[in-house]
Amino acid sequence: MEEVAPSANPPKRVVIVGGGIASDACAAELRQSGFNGSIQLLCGEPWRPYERPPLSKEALDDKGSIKEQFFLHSEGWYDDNAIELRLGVHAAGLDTRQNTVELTTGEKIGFDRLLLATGGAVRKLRIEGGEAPNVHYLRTKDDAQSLASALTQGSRVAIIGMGVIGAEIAASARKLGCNVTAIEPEAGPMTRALGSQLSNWLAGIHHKHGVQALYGVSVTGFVMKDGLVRAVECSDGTLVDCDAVCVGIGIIPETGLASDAGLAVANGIVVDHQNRTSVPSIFSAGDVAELPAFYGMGRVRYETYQNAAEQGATAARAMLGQAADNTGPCTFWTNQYDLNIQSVGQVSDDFSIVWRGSMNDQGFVAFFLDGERLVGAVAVNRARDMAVARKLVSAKIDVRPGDLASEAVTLRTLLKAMRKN
Amino acid sequence: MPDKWIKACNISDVSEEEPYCFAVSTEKNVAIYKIEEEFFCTDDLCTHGNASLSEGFADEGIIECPFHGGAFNIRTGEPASYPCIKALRTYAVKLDGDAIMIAYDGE
Repeated sequence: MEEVAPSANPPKRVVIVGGGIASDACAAELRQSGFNGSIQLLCGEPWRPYERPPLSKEALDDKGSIKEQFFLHSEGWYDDNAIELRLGVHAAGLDTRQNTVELTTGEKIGFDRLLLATGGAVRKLRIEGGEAPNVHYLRTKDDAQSLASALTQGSRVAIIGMGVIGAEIAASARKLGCNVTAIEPEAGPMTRALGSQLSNWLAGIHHKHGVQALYGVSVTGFVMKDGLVRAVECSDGTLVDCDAVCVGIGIIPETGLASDAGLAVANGIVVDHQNRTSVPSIFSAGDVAELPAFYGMGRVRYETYQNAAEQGATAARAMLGQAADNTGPCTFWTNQYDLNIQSVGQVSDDFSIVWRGSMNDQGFVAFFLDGERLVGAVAVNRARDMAVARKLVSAKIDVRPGDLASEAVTLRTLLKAMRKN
Repeated sequence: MPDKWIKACNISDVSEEEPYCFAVSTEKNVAIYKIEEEFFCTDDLCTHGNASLSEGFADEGIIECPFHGGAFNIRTGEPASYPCIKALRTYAVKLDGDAIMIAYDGE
């Protein structure tokens, strides 16, 4: 893709579409990098940018926290940094020749550089009765508010989908004293993020905490009463009685603006290693962006907080013609019950696992190897090991399985050895 | 309140790999770090989540939070990587013989 020469056409106006972490990180990095022009942040929600990760964890524990907490910055921060925050506005179209974005109100906003960080919309269950008010999805603060009200002591909750969202909601719901039944077509929870061995391990954890789970099963229907879902019909014939349903079956990237305007779109809005789209003045970052993979030759779309933030920051620097590169492994965390689970890189059954500690321990690390190359790791309650694992994976180095497995070899020594080379 | 120098620990209590956690009050802990031959001090509580930074990974002047892998610059308290965005409070440090003293105003 054509790179814009740093000295030609320095931008004066940056417009950011989307009010999540990628957008906020972009705005922050623009100011950090010395950009003094105008920045408009167009947020679709009625809230200024906030963190989504707590919505399936802390927010559900403490309903009162949802309105006030989890914001990335105080309101004053946007004023102090001359970032114009526009809440509840929606972009309807882009004109890539005029360099304008048109809102649903008809207002046209001119830009020198544009960031599309429109994230994703929750994938909806297409089942009759699925629009009932006691069927909950979770993406926004408003969703969390509604879901939190439904998670009361003794309420029977059916969780459809045990990916990260479903698994975290299950853990939060159990903590709140709900009766939880999870329904998941895969063989275990979070199989895509953990591979099958760790997924089995996590299934055991949820079982130990009282989650009843139906794996290898899908939802075939809802039984309604008075406009509410009172039971979930499953493909194996099970009928799950419930007071509330939570659905976590993924997101669909919001690529509409880009595709309507003729930008390259595939699994997401197609970008290069600097988050630049097929139009040189337009960038894209976060859940909506598809970028070059860190490992191998493919392309990926990450749905993680850390990657979204880094991409937003990369886009900012690239907009200003500064050095910028989003190439890095996928990183994410999840907190369920008393477990701190962190992950880096490629985690799948395609790779062999070297264990540091074991799944029976309070904490352990699973290292994923492609031959001798360390490509990924998942650490449970082993934050210091994960810190090293992240650096080793990022460096794409070869390792000796014995070194990774043996507690007699501190991972720090591997880091030092790596740096010497 | 003016700064008062209080003893946090001894030099031997802190290594480059193991920051030291000191309770300045019943409500606040600070972390003491060693970088080469110098010592530094920040709040122990991460500004992003309920995590103890002294349990994190100290490396090349950066402390990584054990919770979610965000990081801060030990010397300045400034955030070094997401998800940490808000700077950490830092405290002046001086040595008194083998004792590491920090300047603390009581708050």
